Amino acid sequence: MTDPFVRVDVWTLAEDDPIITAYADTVAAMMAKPISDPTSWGYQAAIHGIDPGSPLPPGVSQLLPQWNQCQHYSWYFLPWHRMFVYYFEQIVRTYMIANGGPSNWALPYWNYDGSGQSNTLPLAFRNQLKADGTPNPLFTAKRRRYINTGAVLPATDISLVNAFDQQTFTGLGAFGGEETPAPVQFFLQNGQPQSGALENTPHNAVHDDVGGPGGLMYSPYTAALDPIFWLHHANIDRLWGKWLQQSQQHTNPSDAGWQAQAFLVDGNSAFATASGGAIPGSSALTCAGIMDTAGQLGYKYDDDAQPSPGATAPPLRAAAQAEAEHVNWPSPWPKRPAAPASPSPDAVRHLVGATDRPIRLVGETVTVTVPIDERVTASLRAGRRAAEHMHHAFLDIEGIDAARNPAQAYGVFVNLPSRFTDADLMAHHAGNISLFGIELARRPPTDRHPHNLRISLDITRLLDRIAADGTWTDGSQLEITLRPSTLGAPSGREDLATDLADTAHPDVPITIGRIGIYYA
Amino acid sequence: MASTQTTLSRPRQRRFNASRVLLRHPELGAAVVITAAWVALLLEAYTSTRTGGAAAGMPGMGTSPAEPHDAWSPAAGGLPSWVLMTVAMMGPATLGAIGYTGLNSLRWRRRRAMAEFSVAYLAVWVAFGLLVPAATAVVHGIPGPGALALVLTVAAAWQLTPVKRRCLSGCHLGASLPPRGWRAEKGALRFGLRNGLYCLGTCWCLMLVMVAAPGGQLLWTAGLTGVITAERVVSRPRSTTRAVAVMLLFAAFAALATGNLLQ
Repeated sequence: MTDPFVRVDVWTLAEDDPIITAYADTVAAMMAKPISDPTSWGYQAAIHGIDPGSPLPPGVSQLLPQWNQCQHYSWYFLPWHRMFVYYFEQIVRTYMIANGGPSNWALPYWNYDGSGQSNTLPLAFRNQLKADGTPNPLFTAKRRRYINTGAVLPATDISLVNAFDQQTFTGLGAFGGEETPAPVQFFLQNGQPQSGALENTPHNAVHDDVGGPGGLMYSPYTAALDPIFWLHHANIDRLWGKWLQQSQQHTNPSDAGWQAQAFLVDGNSAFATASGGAIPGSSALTCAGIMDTAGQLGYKYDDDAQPSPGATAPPLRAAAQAEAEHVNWPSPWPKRPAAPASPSPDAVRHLVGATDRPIRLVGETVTVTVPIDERVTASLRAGRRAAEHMHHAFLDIEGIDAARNPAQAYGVFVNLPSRFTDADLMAHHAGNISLFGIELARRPPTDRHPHNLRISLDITRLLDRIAADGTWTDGSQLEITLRPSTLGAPSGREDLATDLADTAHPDVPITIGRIGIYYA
Repeated sequence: MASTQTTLSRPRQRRFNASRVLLRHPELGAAVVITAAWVALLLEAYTSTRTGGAAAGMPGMGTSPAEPHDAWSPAAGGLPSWVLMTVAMMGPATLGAIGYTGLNSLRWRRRRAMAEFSVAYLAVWVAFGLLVPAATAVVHGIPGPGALALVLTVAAAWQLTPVKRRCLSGCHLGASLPPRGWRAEKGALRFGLRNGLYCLGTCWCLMLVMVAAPGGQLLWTAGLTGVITAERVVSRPRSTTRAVAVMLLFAAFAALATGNLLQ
């Protein structure tokens, strides 16, 4: 068997590295092809999404059934995107080899959680012109203001803490998303969200941060048109592997249906071969067929042997220690059972507190108090099945709506001190509110009911953390802070800080119906 | 546009646990009430048949073209029957919303919230029920099988309107329920009212079919309940409403062709 191709960190490459220049040349060639060609840039992006409300692109008389297939808010989010990027990479490599490019090319990844400048857009994507004065295909002006100048992604938007806090793939707020009965874009079943923690952060937040209002990355309909999209998703794919490596308890769903799931359109795979041919349904990849990237798909990542820096972050260590030390949450919360039930998608969630009026977000920080209902917690403590609780807490942001995506993520913090440090921000961060994809939820491109969004964040280990460090002493309430994420000024351009802060005042307000706290 | 397909079902083997099922499905109490409504309808139909009714009829509803009008009048005892029929026919489709209300309420006020939702929801249908006698008079003013065919055709046409689709989608919307105090009461009532209005917009035409149906009421009730529930449960609004429209048109033709369908 040949050695697997190696996907490398783009920030370890020089701007003129052949991996990058060959990618740029191929992107240019793909952009020149008509959208009806499955190996074209437009067609590949349309598999992910294309706005059915926009005028048809030249060369097609109708939207093709293979388009608008992206899976979000679903436990198919990770496997679908792995397949999508894998087939795209094959198309790019095949073109490259045919045109004298590097035969060992693999798609680089953007590890925004790395060191140094990695939390800024990679250099090769920033400039309108290449060094030789010709147009740079990796550049687009349709990005958030100052992203192409090197604006810094907010630490809480790229944090891996909440995702790597998760011990299971499946479940509300779990790593990979809640069980979804069928591949449906932006699924919401019985009012329950299906998105996973990694999809929430960093995935959604980075889309908003890079795209900005009206940019390409801010909408699933246009995101894959930005050449950085593919490096972003290579990183999400890499983080899936990192989570699996983190602990032997971290496993993919064993569910037979999930494992056997293929993504078919009219009997064929939704994706295309490297030469643009159809893949018959009988040969289509299934989720079980993509679990081992090196063995089954022939690629690996350059840092497979190393632990993820995010996965060893201080907040994660603190939470693990709190759990090991059997730290209890302050009264009136139930005490930690001697042997908490294993996290399970079947767990019964009990509402223990909620806000009682809608919240409006217009770019300012909002803090609300959620009282914890003592009648409910008393019954949970005294109940016959108290010992069977998972001892898990969830924070649900319910009824999220906006006319369109304001491309403004909001960090969600629990009991954030009034005067906080950067370390406090990370330790109290539960996840983000991002409306990436709201347009598909409100006006589904396929025959589905429209709906707003709901986000479920598992805050168990966050509560462990703040209970252990003594900052959470009053269990009768939780203070939830929603704070707009603001990009940092590029290195050497501190003069842009005010301008960047101003971009956190979107003209599209977000309404939130309720913030609920649940216990299982 | 074709969508991706599920290639395999996912059988799950989990140990049955009754109390867990009840906690996960607080709407089971409402399901018992709906079942009781069906039992009452069946008993009434049985009694009607034993006492010489022309067909298996519905309480308070005509069992033949000759005697339908007055029985619909709330003053003549028709309103309780209307409520019974509403519970039986709309109940299965509304269980999801009732369960949502329970699951999103504090545990100690789940039943109260679900009751408030149900009262507000039923109030909408009761208000509509008050208009039914007038509709009955109009429908039965049309001679022969034309009345049924006309109502079925109107119902089929309504199926294809964007308003119908919007209402059907509205039935799937959740609500942000305040947890306690008067806001909680108001929230559950408002949710019930909103869901009832969307449900009315979705189903009013189908319920009018019951007015025009000349006999075999129990069969019509069961059949339309199946249609209403399927339309609510299946998550493809455009294809489902179209399929139901075709079915209603077919029934309209059949009514005209056979004179009196199911009589």
